[in-house]
Amino acid sequence: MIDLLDIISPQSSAYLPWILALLILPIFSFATTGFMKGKAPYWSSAIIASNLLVAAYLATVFWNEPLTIRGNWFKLGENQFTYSFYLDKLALTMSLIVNFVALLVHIFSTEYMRTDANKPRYFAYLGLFTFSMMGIVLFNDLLFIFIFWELVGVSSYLLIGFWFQKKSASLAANKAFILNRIGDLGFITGLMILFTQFHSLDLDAVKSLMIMSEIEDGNWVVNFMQGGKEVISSMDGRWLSAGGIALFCGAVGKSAQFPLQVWLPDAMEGPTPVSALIHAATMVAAGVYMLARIFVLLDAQALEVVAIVGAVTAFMAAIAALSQFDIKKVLAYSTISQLGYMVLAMGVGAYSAGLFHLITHAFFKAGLFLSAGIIIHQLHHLEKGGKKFDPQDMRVMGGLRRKLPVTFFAFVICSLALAGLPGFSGFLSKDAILLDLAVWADIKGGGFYIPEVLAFMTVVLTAFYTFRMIYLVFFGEFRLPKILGDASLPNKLKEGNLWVTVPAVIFALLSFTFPFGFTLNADHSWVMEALKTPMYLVPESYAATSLLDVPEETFHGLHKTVNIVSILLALAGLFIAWLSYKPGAKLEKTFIERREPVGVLGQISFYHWYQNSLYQNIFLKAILAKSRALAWFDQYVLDEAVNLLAKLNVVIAHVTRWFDQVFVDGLVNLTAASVGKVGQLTRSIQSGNIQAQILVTFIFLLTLILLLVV
Amino acid sequence: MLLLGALMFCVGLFVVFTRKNAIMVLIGIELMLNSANLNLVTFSRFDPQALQGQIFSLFVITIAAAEAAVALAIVVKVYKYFKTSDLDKINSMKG
Amino acid sequence: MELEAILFYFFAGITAFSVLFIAVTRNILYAAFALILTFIGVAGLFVFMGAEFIAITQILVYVGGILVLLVFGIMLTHRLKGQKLKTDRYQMLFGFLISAGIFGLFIQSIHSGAFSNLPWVDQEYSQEVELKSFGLSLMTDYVLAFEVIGILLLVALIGAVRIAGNARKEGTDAA
Repeated sequence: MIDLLDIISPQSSAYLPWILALLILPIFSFATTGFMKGKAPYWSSAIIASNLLVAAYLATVFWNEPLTIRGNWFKLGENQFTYSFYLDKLALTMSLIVNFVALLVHIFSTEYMRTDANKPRYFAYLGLFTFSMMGIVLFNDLLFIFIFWELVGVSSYLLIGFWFQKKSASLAANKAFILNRIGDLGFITGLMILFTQFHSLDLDAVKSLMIMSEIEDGNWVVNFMQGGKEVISSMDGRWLSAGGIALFCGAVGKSAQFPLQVWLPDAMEGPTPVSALIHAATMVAAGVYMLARIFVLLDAQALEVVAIVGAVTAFMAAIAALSQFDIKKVLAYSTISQLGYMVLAMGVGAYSAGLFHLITHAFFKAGLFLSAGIIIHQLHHLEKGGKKFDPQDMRVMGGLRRKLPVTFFAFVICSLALAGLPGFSGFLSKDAILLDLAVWADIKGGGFYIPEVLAFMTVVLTAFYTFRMIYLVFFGEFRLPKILGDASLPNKLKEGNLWVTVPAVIFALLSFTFPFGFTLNADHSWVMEALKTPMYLVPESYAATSLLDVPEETFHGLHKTVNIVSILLALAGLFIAWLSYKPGAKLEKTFIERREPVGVLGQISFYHWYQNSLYQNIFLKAILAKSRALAWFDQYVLDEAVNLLAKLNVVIAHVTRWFDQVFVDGLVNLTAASVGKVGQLTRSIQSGNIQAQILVTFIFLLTLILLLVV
Repeated sequence: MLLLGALMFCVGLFVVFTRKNAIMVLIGIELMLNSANLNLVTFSRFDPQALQGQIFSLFVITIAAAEAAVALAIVVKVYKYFKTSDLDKINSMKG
Repeated sequence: MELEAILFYFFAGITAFSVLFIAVTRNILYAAFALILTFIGVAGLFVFMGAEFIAITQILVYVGGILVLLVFGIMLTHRLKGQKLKTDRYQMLFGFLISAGIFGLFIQSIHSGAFSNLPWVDQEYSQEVELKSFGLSLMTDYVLAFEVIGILLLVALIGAVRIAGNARKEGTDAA
C-alpha cells in the first residue's frame, strides 16, 4: 500500500533558484517599479524580458523531462502540507506565453500609457499580475494554485479599476471581483472535498490516490497509509462528481463562463493593454489551465457539465457580440465565446485541442486587443482640443484602413485566425476541437448533439461579428468628421508609432499557422504532440469515455467532413457580414444613427440575453430587499431592543446610583466617620499635654500593679 | 518614716499632675526625688558599713541639682518662646 | 517622751505639713517657700537617721542652690509685676485618685512588707556613721560613679548656660 508521505516526500533540485527567479523577478518588478517614476516602463519591461529569458532557459532544459520539486511547508496534525513545483510541457509553454505576452504588453503600454500620471502604479500592477500568474502556472499544489488564483483576482481587480476615478471602472472592478469570488467559493469547496478524501492537496498525491480509489456499493473509497497508519477514506460516490464540478466553478468564475461571464465585458473599463494581457490572453485562460491540471480528476458527469457550460457560453457570447457598438465589448464577448470553446474542449475530453486553442487564442486575441488599442489610442489623440467623443465606439470609426495600414494588417490577420479560416492558427485549434466534439457527440448521442450544433453555429456567428467589426472599423467612410462636423480630422489621424505597432504585428505573425507547424491538420502540429491528452484517473465506473480509446479511423472518417463544414460555415458568416455591412449596404448606412439594435433578436444580443438585468432584478433586488428587511429589522427590532436595553440600563443606573449614594456611600461615610470618631477619641488622648500623658501612664501602672498584686 | 516618704512622693505626683505651671511641676518633681532620698537614707540605717543608701542619695541630690538647673533653663527658654509657662498651652505635640 | 523623739516627730510634722501645703496652695511662690520647709524638715530627719553629711548636702544644694534657682525662675517667668503668682489646676479628680491610689498601694505594701519583722532590721546599729569611712568609700568603691556624676554636673551646667543664655541671639531666632 502506498504511503501518502512517500508520495509527497521532499524532492530537491539544483534548478530551484531558476524557478524561484520566475516568481521573484515579477514581484521584484512590482515592489520597485512604483518608485521609478518616468523610467518605470523600461525598468519593468527589462525585468519581464529577463523573466522571459529564464522561462526560455528552463523550457530548453526540461522540455523532455518534467521536473518536480517538493518541500515540506507545515504540518497540521497528521497532515503534511507541501509546496511543489512541476515543470512539464504544459507549465513551460504557459510560462513562456505569459511572459511573452506580458513583455509585448509592457512594450505596448510604454506608448499607450505615456501620458498617464499614474504610470508607475500601472506597471507595478502588471508585475504583480505576472507574479501571480507564474504562481498558478508553476505550482503543482492545489492550495498554492488557489492562493495565486486569488492573487490573480486581486491584480485583475486593481487593473480593471486602474482608472478608479471613473465610477464605471470601479464598479466594473467590484463586479469582476465579486463574481470571481462566487466561482472561488466552488473552487474552495472542491479543495475541501479532495482534502477530506486524500488528506493532501498535492496534485501528485491526489492523482496517485485517485488511481487507487474505487467505487464500492456506490461509495467512493480509497485506502492508503499516512505516516505508517492506515487510512480508509470513504464518501458517497456523488461527491466525486460534486468535487469536480466544484473545482470547475473556480474556472467558471475566472474564465468567464456561463453564468458568471457578465464581469468580462465590464472589465473592458481597464486600459486596453490590460484587456489584452489579462482579459484575453492569460488570466481568463487560467481557468482552462486549471481545468487541464485537474483534467484527470474529473468524472463523466463533471465533464458533461463542463462541456454543456462551455457550449452554452460560446453560443451566448457569440450572439451578444453581434450587435455591440463598442469595439472592446465585441472583443470581450468574442473572448468569452472562445473561452467557451476551450472549456467545451476540456469537457469533451479534447485536452490537447483545448490547450492548443488556448495558445492560439492567446496570440490572436492579444493581437486584436492591441490593434484595437492602437485605434483607440490614435482616436484619443483627436480628442485633444476638440469635442469629446467615445473613441471605443465603432460608430465614430470607418475607413481607417487607409489611415492605419499596419494596424489594419494586424487586425485582419488576427481576425482571420479568430474566424478560423485555413492558414491561420485559429483554424487548426478550432478544427481540432470541433473534430473531437463531433466524435464525442457521436459516442454520447441523443441530447449531446446540442453542444455540437451550438459550437458549429458559433463558427458562423464568430465569422460574422469578426467581419462586421472589420467592415465597420476599416472600410467605408470615416464617420467621425461627419458627427463632429470637423472636416480636418482625417488629416490629423496618424498611424501609431513602433512602440505599439511592433507588438501588434508580432501577434499577427503568430496568428498564422506556421508557428505551430506547416500543416492544415491540427494533429500534425507540434503543440498537439507535446500536450498529449492524459488518461482519466477516476474509478472506472465513473470515468468518461476517453477519446484516446476511440479508434483512429473514426477521427479520420469525420475529419474531412468537419473541416469542410467549418470552413464553409466561416465563409458563410463572412459572406453575410459582407452583405449586411459592406460599404453602402443597408445596415451599414443606418448604423451611425442607431442608438440600439432593432428587433427582438437584436435586443437580446445587445443586452447579452438580458443576463445583467436578470441578475439585477433577481439577485440584486433580492439582496436589496433582504438588506431593506434587515435594515427594518435593525431599526425597529434591534434598535428598539438596544434602546430598551439602554433605557433599562438608565433606570438600573438610577437605582444603583441611589443605592450607591445611600448605602454604599453611607457605608463608606459610616466607616470614615467611625474611623474619624475613633481618631478623635485617640486624638484627645494625644493632647500634647505631657502631664496628661504622665497621668495616663500612672493610671495604667496602677491598674497593672493592682491586677498583679490583688 | 516610710509613710512620710510615701506621702511626699504622692503629693509630688499630685502636684505634677495637677499644676499648670511648669515651675510647680518642677517643685513636684523635687518632692518626689526627695522622698526617694528619704527612703534611701532610712534603709541605709541598717547598713552602716557600706553606706550604700547614703551615697546613693548623694548622687540623687546631685542629679536633682543638675536636673533643676537644666529644667529651669528650659522653662525660661520656653517662656521666652511661648510667652507662657503654662504647660497646657504648650501643646505643639498635640496629635 | 524623749527629746529626740519629740524633735523627730516635729521635723516629720513640718515635712508633712509643708508637703500638704504645696499640694493645696495655688501660689507658686508660697509653694517654693513651703518646699524650703520640706527640705529643712527632711534634712532634720536625715540627721536623726545618722546621715549628717547628707543632711548638710541637702540644705546646701536644695535650699542654697535649687530653691534659689526656682525662685529666680519664677521671677524670670512672671516678672512679679501685676502678674498673679498663681497657677491653675486641672485634672484634679484623676490626679487625686491616682495619687491616692498609689499612696494606698504604698501603705498596703509597707504594711504587708512588715519591715520590722525582717531579720536584719532587728539588729539596729546605733553607732554613728564615720564621715571618714563615708569619704573613703566614696573615693574607692564608688569612685567611678562619683566621677561620672561630676562630669554630668559639668555637662548640665554648660547645657543650662547654653540653653538659657545668649538671650539676644536666641530671641532673634525665636522671633
